Amino acid sequence: MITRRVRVAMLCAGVAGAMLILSGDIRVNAQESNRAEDAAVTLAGRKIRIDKGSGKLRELSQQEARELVATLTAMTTRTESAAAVPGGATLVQMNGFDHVLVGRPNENGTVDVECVSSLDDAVTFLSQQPKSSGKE
Amino acid sequence: MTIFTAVSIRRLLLPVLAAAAVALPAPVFASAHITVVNVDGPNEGFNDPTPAAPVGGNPGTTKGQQRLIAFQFAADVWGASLDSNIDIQIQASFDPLGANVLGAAGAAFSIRNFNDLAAAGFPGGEPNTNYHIALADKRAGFDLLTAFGFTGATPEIVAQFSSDFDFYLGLDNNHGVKNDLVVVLLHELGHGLGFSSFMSRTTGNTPGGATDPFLNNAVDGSTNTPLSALLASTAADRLAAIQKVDQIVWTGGNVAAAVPTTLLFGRPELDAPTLPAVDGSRYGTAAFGAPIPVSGITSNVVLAQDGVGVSTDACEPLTPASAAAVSGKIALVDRGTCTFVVKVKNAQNAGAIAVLVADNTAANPPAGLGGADPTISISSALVLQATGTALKTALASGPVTITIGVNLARRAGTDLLDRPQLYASTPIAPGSTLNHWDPIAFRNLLMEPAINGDLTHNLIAPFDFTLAEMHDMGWFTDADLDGQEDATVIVNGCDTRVPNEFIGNGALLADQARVWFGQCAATTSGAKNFEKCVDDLAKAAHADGIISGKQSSHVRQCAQAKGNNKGS
Repeated sequence: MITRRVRVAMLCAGVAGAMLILSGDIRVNAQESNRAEDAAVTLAGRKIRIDKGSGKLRELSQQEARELVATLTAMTTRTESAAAVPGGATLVQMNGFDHVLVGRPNENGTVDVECVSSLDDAVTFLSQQPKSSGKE
Repeated sequence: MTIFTAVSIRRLLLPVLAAAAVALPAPVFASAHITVVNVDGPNEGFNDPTPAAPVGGNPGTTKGQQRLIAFQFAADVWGASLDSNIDIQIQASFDPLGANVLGAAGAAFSIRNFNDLAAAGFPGGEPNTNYHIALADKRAGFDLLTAFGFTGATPEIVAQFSSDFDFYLGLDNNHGVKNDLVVVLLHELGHGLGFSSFMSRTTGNTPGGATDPFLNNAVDGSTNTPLSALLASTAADRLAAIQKVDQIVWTGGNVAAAVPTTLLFGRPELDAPTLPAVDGSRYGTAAFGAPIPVSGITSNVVLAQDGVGVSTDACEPLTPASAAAVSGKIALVDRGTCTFVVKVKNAQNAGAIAVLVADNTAANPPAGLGGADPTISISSALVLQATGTALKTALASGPVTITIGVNLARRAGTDLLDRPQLYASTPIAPGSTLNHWDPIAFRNLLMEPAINGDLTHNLIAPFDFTLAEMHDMGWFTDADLDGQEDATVIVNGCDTRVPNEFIGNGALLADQARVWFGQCAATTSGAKNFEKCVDDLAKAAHADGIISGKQSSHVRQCAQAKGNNKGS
């Protein structure tokens, strides 16, 4: 028989556990948010877009950098779920992409293209075009 | 054999490859039926009604139509090359992903231990081996997803591409400075059909701890240990293995047969016999300036100084004293702060005859130097940070002479045993490492991490060995779809009665015959013209020693049969 005190203790433990899980989520989310913001800061200001009017390279704005980071994060976030059937076959369903092609334009209109699978990969590739300010 | 540098070959082959690309395998005789399922909403992506002039053989009159036609064309190139009696569905869309994202595609499912579900007479898969679902279906002769409650319409591959990116939508590969959508799709669909390991390059783990056909073909050449064997070791060991630059190789027999005709001799290397830390180290070539000549560039190395900020980065004009020292020599500059073309231009203005850019990170192998500047006429290359440090240390003790050259005894992209190298890198680039060929490969290959502008739509040797990779991973030739590997070449329903063997260009005869038949079907009209087209190609191949007289004769007989069918 579970006493009231035990039930209260279990409830407290449950609440504490939930808070731990919740705080863990908050930490993870905060880290993800910081990571995304860092990536956006790194990319903003780099000449990695073609100006449609002039055909010249132009800087990525902060808003565009945030949108690019959001797109890359969504595409490269992978989840898997498995199911098995009698006979032993195991099927794994995969969401998100392991190979995303990103492009970095050059002054002559060509675009260097690289296969990446994470936001960090993409930022590394796109950051090879230095910021026009000369400051990294 | 004529030997060129890897770099100069890239330029020399451009017109040849472009011409060859026009005569591509037309996707007419699909043995695997690959369907593009358009999931775009009204007025977007494939349904974009923006008027577009037909381009490069793409007859679509709207942007959306052209995207769909190009997409299906790429799917059909794969379909004409692979055999499966199970339809492959690609769920595809074009979405506003921004102009820096081209898109992606990948297998929607992997499956292992499915042999109990296989149809009678079909081989199934190796035990405890994760297969891309399309390959598993082919080997099972059964739509395996239906055993798990999915409908037959469930996609095997999911693809999402950018409606903001300005792709070339023609079908003729005549893309100019644009990026050819068909090539991009061939690459991404290659991943979705099997060219990738399920091993995470972040954790080193695989689904269920099982191997996959890709890992089964990959070997750590430094120890001759199959990567699949490392699954019994730790994840750290696996992650360490795929960082062994120049050591991770592919051992499948189909690719091995294609290597001699596909990869050319001329590995970019520094020659510095008195500096062991530098001698033989590879460099990354530049997309601008003069290619490295076959004879190499030999001179003293001088560390450039611009006197501003990081004084060795050559982001400003060199100081008068440094310019005098650099003139007529190889300038050594550090990477960082400004673009590669700015550094090289400043060194060129100072009179340097070539430039080595030393990396500013410990990344290995050295990537190429990107950028464009038609006023740059000298050669340049990116070297490892360690190479740069070794050169600087040596320079402190006196003059250093090196040659920026090519090793003509070694192919660009193979190890010392002539095995094709997979991309190993430090640090691991999760999207690129392992699941591509080493970018040093030349000819450029479809499944390198970068999509190079000289790629064609051709999947077989001597242009590429993507189809050979697929054969190595279990996409066996089965034109009659009976579940058994074809012993003889069957093309368009006609059995040539000659064995399906490797021919002189490194391809399998069955793959080559399909290319010829597809090409002739696309470029001729009428049975007679079709027969003559195949006849001419087979005779030319015989004259070049690529196929025997018997092979030529039998292939031509099947062209006649096809021609009769075509005319009836």
